[in-house]
Amino acid sequence: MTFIDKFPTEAKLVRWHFGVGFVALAIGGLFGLVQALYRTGHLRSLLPINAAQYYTVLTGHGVLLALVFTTFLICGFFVWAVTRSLDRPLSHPRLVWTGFISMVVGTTLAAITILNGFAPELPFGSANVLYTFYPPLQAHPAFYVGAALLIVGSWIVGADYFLTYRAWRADNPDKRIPLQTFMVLATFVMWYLSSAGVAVEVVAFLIPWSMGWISQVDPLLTRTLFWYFGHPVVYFWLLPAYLAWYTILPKLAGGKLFSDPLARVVFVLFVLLSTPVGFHHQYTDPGIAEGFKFIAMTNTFMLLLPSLLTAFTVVASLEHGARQRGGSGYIGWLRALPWGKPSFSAMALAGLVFAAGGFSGMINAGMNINYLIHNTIWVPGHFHLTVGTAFALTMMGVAYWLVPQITGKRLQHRTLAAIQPFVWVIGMTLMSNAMHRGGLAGLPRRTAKPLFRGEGAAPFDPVVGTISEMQLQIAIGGTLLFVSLALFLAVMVGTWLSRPGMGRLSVNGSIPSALSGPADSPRILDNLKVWTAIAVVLVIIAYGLPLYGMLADGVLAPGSPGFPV
Amino acid sequence: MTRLDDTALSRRGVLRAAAGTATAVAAGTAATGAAAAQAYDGWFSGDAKGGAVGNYDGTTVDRTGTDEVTIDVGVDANGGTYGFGPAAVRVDPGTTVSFEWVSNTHNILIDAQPDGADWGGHDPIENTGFTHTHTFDTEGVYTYYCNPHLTMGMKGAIVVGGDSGGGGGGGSDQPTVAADYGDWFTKSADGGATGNYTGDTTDKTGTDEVTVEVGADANGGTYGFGPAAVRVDPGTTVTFKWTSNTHNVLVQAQPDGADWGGHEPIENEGFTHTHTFETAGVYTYYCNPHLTMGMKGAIVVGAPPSGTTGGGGGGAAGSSVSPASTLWTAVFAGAVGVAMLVPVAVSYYRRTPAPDSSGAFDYEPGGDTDDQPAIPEADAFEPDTELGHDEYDPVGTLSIVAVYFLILVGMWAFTYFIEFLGNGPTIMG
Repeated sequence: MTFIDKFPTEAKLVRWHFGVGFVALAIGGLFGLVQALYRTGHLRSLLPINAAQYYTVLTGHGVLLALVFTTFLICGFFVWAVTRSLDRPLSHPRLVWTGFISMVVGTTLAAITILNGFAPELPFGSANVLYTFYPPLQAHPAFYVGAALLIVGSWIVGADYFLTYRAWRADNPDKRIPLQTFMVLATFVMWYLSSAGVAVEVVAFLIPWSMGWISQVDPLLTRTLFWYFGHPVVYFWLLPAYLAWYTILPKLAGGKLFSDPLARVVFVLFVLLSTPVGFHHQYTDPGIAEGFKFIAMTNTFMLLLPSLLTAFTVVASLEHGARQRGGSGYIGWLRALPWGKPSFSAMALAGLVFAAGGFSGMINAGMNINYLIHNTIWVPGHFHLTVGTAFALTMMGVAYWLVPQITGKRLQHRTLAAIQPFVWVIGMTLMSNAMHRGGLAGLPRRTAKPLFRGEGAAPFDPVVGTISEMQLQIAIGGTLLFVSLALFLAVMVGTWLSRPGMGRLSVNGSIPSALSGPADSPRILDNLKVWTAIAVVLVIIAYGLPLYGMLADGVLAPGSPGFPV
Repeated sequence: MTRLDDTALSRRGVLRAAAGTATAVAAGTAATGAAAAQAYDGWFSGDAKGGAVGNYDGTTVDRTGTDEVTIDVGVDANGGTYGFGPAAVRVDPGTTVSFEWVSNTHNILIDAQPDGADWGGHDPIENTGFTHTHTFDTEGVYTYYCNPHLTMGMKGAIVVGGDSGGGGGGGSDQPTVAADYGDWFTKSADGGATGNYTGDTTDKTGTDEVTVEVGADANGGTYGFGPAAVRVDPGTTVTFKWTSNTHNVLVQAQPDGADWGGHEPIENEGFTHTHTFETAGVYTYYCNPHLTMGMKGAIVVGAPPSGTTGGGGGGAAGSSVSPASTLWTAVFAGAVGVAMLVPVAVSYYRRTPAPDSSGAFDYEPGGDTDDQPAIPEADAFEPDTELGHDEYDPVGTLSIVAVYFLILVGMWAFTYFIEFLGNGPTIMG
């Protein structure tokens, strides 16, 4: 039975989460286009912003896409995953609505402060603090309150995943946790553990500081708290994509998941290792001993393991599907996959692009080699492959498959949908390769006019090609990405507005069981209490002493007053 | 108008400019606050960016009464072909100015222009023979420069309108001052918004002696200057009269050359502090104990610019928006608004039952009921040959993973051995 008929309440929840997420995606994507053109100097004079407002656009792009779009999509997607895999409705749907409303209010507050950069007539003050909101850059308090409400809202939504699981466990005392629910719970254990850092940063320091209750904050401490959350958050984005790759993608390929236990091992490793790695974003920060940075580096490299396990398991599952469809050969089986099906091609291409992102992630993680590309445009080049494609494009694929099931409406504009993932990947390939190469040449990130000072491209030293060619690729790539996004939104809006009950859907919601099921794996894999406890110990090892060192000279010292932007 | 220098927006430039407005260091707001006021605000002096301008001798060439004026770009000056000729010129409103390139590799970027002016300059670098024209309609002072040769002192200024009757007297004598306080009275500045500043500047020009109350009822107590903003003539003596207790007067910003020291000791009711304001420009000041209550004030010395009233202020730092971009912003905001409303409108349209649409029904989620059938899904995929666990050997996966590893190793070796060891860290350079 279609999801909407079986679980109408939950389908409505998923729809609302996806709807808000898509609005954020539309606005944030438009900002991305403006940014790509302004920064590269193409059509700059036609753009409705000046150089100062570039940072408004940059903040909006980062916050709306990396925090708002992701969190809403994830919370909605997980409602579906828990309900479907436990085969029972949520235990407390009102709790989820509460969390949703908290997230909407928080998003609205933060969005108003960001848009203040264009229209100072709006309430509150402005918040051009960029996605990382590093002190001493100071935003209006409403921005921080909004961010806190967004995080807390996700916690409330997450609580019902656990409550629903508990109700299911009471009825099924001896069963293994269904894989999708296991993945959801593991992701949220990691999320609770890591987002506590940003919650402390915002609630204990930034809100009182922006209200004027305390005069200064310690920038190093607040940055450390941010990155305590700031790296695990990328796994908060990634793990839902993994959930889709492990459980939906094999089915779309016409096959079965290769190994259920391996998938569980991967998620357990993420619970353990996601959080004690944040210092690898702070390799150039003074005030943190090299040894602790080294611990973060080794933990980061250990995190390659679950991602490489994923690459193997997911590709093996796709191959299973291809061979069931008649594919053969060492490489030739790839042709047998249903590339014309947008839900499949979006997710599979997202996985392919993520493999390239894995490479630049390895460079980022290396303590010495990181210095080569730190704070250059290489870094945005990297995360546009990961969150910008591995997550975003996967969620678009999920939407092509899931939105018909949660609305009861046939997918519209299917030709547009079929070409959309390919346009995205072409655009991303142009943009991201140029960003990586520009970073190697020293092109800075977070800069409205990187070629300023009349010297043009002269100070930069590309290995291959020229800076102007890279700038052009970024501009064209960004434009193609925006076109692709517009195609996606056209399909979604068209589907959403079409009439329900117009006949058979083009998608099928059943998910076959794995080739190698959970019965083959040790039960301790399902014991999240054990893994949580070990994760906490690892966090204490990685963060205990450095945090103590930062606090020992006074919680707010050495401090800095705020610079409102 | 605190105009963030558009071209100085390197990453650090933004931080600096933001910090300048926020902590309201005197240099930041004061110097630009009186921008339209006098002597091109030091634009041709060695203190401004780019340094002194060799071919500006203090005179402004008067070209009023002519409809078309030519300025040469790249005349011999400043140790090469690095001058605008003439460097400073006065024209009537509505005059079309032609900039003619007489040497190579110059452009025109705007340093400052009056609110509402829409001159875009000419960003691309051009060579001899190129001409850029613009018609200057908005009165005020425009300052501009050539970006490649800024450090040589290739800067210029145009005065549009004003008291042109006297001829080539030079822009330095203009006594008009706009009542522009930047964000001083807004919540973005230190101490937050000033409750008793309504956007109006009390005009006390024509009076020799003016009184400002210190500690007037405002801002939730006796925490106001009364009036908060006042305009006086140069040479006016202003008496600050304490009308409640524990206040002082600290100067936040004043024009270059002004010598007001404020009154730092904290005084009580009955105390007076007087100062004669000679230098034209905008002065901002506050009471330190009650700054956070919004106890801030401003004095404008000089006549209002023609066509403006005493209002102003309020603009956020850095958002210097020309009319053209205001239009774009409106279009942009409108487009976003329309885009967000479209789904609502269309869904209303689509919800209305279409006549005779076969097979359609008013669907309510919940499955197969008396009124409606359930929504059917597509059939699940059934493979021709089912491949079980033991028959499946993922050799294709192995091939792909092997290829991926080879790529990874190759790219890593390139990045480490060639880029990293060969070039060294870019962040240090």
